[in-house]
Amino acid sequence: MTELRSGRESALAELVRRYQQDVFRFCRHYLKEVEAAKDLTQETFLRVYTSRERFDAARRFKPWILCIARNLCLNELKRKKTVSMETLEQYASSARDGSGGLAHYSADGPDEVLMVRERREALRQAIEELNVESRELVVLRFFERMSAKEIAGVVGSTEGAIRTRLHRLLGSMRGRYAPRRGEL
Amino acid sequence: MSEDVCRDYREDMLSHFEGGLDKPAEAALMGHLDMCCTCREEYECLDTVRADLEAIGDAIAASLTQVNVVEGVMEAVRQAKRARRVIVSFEPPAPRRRFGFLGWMGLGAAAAAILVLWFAGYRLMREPDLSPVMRQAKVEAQSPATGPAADRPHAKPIEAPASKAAAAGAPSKTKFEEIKRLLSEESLTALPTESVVGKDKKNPDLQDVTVAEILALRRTAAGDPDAGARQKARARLAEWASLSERQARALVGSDGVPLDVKVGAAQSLPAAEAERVLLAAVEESPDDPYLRGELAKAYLDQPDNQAEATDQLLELSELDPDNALTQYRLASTLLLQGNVAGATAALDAARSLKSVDTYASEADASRQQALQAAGMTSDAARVLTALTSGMDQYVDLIELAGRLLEQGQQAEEQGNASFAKDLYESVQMMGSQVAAASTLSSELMAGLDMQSSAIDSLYRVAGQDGSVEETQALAQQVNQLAEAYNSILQFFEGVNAFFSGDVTENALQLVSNFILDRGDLNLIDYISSLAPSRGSESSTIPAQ
Repeated sequence: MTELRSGRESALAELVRRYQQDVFRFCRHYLKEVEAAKDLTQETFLRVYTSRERFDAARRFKPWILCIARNLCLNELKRKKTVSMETLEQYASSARDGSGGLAHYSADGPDEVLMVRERREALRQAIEELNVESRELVVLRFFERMSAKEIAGVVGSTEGAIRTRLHRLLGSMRGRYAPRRGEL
Repeated sequence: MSEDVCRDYREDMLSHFEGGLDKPAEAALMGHLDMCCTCREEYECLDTVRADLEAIGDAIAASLTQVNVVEGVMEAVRQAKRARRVIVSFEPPAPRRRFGFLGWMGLGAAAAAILVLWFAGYRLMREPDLSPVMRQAKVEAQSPATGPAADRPHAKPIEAPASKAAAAGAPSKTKFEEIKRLLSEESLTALPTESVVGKDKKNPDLQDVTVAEILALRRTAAGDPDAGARQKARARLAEWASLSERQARALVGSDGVPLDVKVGAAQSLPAAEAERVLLAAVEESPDDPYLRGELAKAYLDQPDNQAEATDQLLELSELDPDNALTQYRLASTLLLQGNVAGATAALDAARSLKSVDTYASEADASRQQALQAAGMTSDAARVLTALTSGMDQYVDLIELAGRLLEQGQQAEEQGNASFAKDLYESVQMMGSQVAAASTLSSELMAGLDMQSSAIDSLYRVAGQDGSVEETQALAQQVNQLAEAYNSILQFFEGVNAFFSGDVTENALQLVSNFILDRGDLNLIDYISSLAPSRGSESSTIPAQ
């Protein structure tokens, strides 16, 4: 970014090479259509270029660029209207075993592998049906492995507020798991 | 284990998965899990959720096609550099101390009325009302600022009733553009190009300028069939009405020249030089809001002096707390300094204030003194000052609007469409406030032009949002603005039609005094109310 700000446009190409997959993956979490996500990825880097003078060198680049990408994605979703939130029952019901409990995953045998796969597919669908704010929290924390502080930088919130939201989200998702019988 | 203890540890478990547990608490948690099977079960369940989520994320990442947008981005950057970005519809002229258009449009009607009244033996005593034309222009220009719905900040513009909207039909953008084109040729926003003005730009010896010559130029500007000749006449009068930089520096550098005169001369100097004069003036008269405002503007024009500009504007807001313009300027400079919260507060304050004062009359008084001190006769200085009253304020207002709109565009670039829209609506409100409070036709024009520019930006945002309702509301506002522009165009055409006839020097002197005292809008109101009946709602000023 320092090089870009001092006028070296080849620095922009390097930034694109380094971060385009991250940004594209991030946009795909918001947008189902590949082309839309690709367009917004491109637009994100264009905004990075036009806003280069306003980048604070003291902050990390990745949360900043994801913040821009997020704003663009939210604008696009607002334009198209978001999907309303669904419960996670689909995940819970499809993942329960015959006794009503949820199997803990284990890679030991084909039955276990199948159970894990089904459970995760149901979870994936449930995530896509979350409201935008909850889904992006899942994406940023568990997919992108960002800390609460970094997430706060992306979404424009405080670290404390993000921790509270994560707390509730995780508790909510955990609430759909029933304890496995016979384990105790 | 007690349930209370386990409850506390379950909270810690959630914090652990958020990454928010410090080392001692982490160690305590792990120690508890070694001892408590129930909590261990819970922990493993949460860990399953975490692992499932992370695995899903990894699977999604692995399944995504790789993209390569390097070429696309670099091409977009090349196109962006080639594209011309229009921030506002009206380009403010540069440098800001010169202006190429004149606001004498009210004089023709005023002079005609004076002549009529003079012969009829009337005396100019009655307080003027707005002429039907100008009243309509101001009413239209006030929208969307007026009405109960508009009293709230961020109020949406008042929409026309459905029946009226239906009757109005789709907005006549073509008509709107045509009116603005005609105005730009004949009115305040006409900016003669360098080629029109020609190489001979030097100011004449000021003592040689006579009222007769001024009148002749005004006649040419009003009625010459050649558009080029009209533009040159306007440019010539603009040159005479302000000092050259050389003349201004000569005055400022003279020991015997009073500070008031130097303040007038500073209007023709670059900001850094004007700053020195204005600092001395403010030291001498710290409670003069006009001087504080001029000093603030000198700082605002210098990118590295925004903090000083802020200080002066804060002082000014104490001296003149009801003036909305001070708050709009404050918002602009605070945004430049990255203080979004302060700027937002200033904009909120600005939108709630009713008063707008451009200090045009104070500026006129000091400019007139400077022209006289530089050698012009008092009569010529007074007439030229009156003919060009408010022109510098027009430029200043358009520049202020342009800065705020540009800052809105920057917010859009960063994906913050909501804040960008807030800024555009603030500029629109500022335009309506300026128009509503105007006493000079140049101020009224500035108010209309600011609203027009803001609507252009709001159209863009509404288009990106796909909001049909907002686009329709904006279309109504365009219609209203078109009517306001049409009203003022009729006014200017009428005045020019008059000035194409015979006007005496005596009449011009009387009219100049009136304009400097009350503004040209007030003069036209008065003339309309006293002139012999010429039909209802007619804006045509009878030629002499």
